[in-house]
Amino acid sequence: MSTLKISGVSYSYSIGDGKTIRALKNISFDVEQGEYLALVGMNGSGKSTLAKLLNGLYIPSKGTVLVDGIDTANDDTIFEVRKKVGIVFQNPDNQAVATIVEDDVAFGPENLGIPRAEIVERVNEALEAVDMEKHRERTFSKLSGGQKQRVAIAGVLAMRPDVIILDEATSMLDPKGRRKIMSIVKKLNEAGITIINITHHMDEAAHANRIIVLKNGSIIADNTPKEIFASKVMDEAGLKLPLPAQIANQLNENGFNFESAPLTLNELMEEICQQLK
Amino acid sequence: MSAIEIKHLTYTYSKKTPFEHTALKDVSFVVEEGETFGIIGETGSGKSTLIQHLNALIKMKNGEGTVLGKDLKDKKSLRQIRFDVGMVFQYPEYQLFADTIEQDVAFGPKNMGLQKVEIDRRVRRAIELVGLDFDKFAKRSPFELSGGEKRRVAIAGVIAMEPKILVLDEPTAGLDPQGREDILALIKKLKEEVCPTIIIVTHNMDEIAKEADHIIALFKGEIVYNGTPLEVFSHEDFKEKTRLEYPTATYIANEIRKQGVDIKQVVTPEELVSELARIKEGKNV
Repeated sequence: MSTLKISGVSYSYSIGDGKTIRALKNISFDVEQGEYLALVGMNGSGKSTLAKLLNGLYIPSKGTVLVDGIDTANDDTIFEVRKKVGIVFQNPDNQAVATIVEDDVAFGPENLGIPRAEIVERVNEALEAVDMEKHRERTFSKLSGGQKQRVAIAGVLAMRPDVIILDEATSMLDPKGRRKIMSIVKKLNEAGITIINITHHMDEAAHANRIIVLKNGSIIADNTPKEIFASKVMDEAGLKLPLPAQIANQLNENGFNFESAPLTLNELMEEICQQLK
Repeated sequence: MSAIEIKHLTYTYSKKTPFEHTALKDVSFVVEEGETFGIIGETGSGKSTLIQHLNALIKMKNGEGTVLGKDLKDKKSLRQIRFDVGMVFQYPEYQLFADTIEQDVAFGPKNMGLQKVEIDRRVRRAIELVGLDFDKFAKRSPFELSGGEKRRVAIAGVIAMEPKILVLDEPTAGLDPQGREDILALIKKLKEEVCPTIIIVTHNMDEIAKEADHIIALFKGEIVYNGTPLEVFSHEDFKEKTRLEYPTATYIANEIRKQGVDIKQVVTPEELVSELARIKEGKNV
């Protein structure tokens, strides 16, 4: 069980000529075990920097990140942090270490020095969770993008993490691959794993229980999808509403009366039919 | 006049080996000059193999084809065809390589054997066209740019060759919503000012429903539909035949129709909203 505690975190990086950019400015929030959180914001808002701070790939310039009470800035305990918090990145081709699918998934636990029998058990479990057991002996490079990302998730799962961060993990996938990943993620969350999904797709963010909106390195909103999509925050952050909410807004200007923003297409369609009766 | 004509194109990878795979089967279509033409299909349906034929990156073996009247099978016209058809591949920013943006964009025109004055003119124009300030960006490294800017530079590199037909493979993939809109607006501008014929390959049905005049849908290497977006997305067996989803607006209209609402076929959110407004208005009378 891991609680993430982000307190007063700033992060700056150098761009040469002695100049620095402040990617994150005094960010604070907590994430409880089992939450499904979406992090949204325009390119350059600091989302991906934040992801890398959450498992100690970056160390805050100021403030602290605590994972289950462990400070990510402490070198001696960093592997504890990485075991608890796994990341799946954007490009499925950049994440493989082995040629064969099951070897790739086993890489993490092997490095933990886990006995072979348990590694086999973990690999089986992880491949099953992402629906890839049929492909375990295939060559990674021959898989589709969506299948590669499922293997990447399995690699993280084999570490038995408390938290999985998806850093735009679906952005290079086709719609079918994306849907599959989202349904796997939902199942993992139902099994108790904390999910943090960093995404440009607002229809994905609508699946979360909570959305944090970033703009220029600061948090400008932290609320449920319903509240966020009903407010002016998305506009302020330079983001677009999910399509169902956009359509509802336009219908409101054309004689319809949606009291709150529909999160899903089904909600939108039910309400349209209701209002046409 | 037609920009591209393809007749009975069949292409098989690794012929006569255990890995033999027919990627395209008897594909025929015409792209008219001035059209925005969409190619849709699931992963592995043959889209990439098809577009690589359009500027002879893959040589045509079985079938016939012309680009702006030039024969795709005539070796002597291939060089000109490659200049006429500009290709923007998926994630083109991964192909940036030079030290400065100016050098990167100049690579294509240099290979065309143009004079320095002409190269400089084209590079400046292309960089300005994609919306970057030449004097500010020319000497900078392309690798310092944001994702959206990098993609613009990569597109500028193709535009600098002043192609007459522009082919874009998933031009908006991986961008944030604003970035996607910016790239679509850029494509419109390029269509007006540089290359009137645009071919877009995409998985995004909402985008193509809005942008395209004409669509072909591929499935397992064959064309299953060929028509306007409205015609293609009106097919009741569209999902089964292509394994793709309907555009969101079409899906909503279809579902509402099943509930007994008399709604016309639509493909864009704007059409959906105006159609629903019309129905609502009728109910209120």
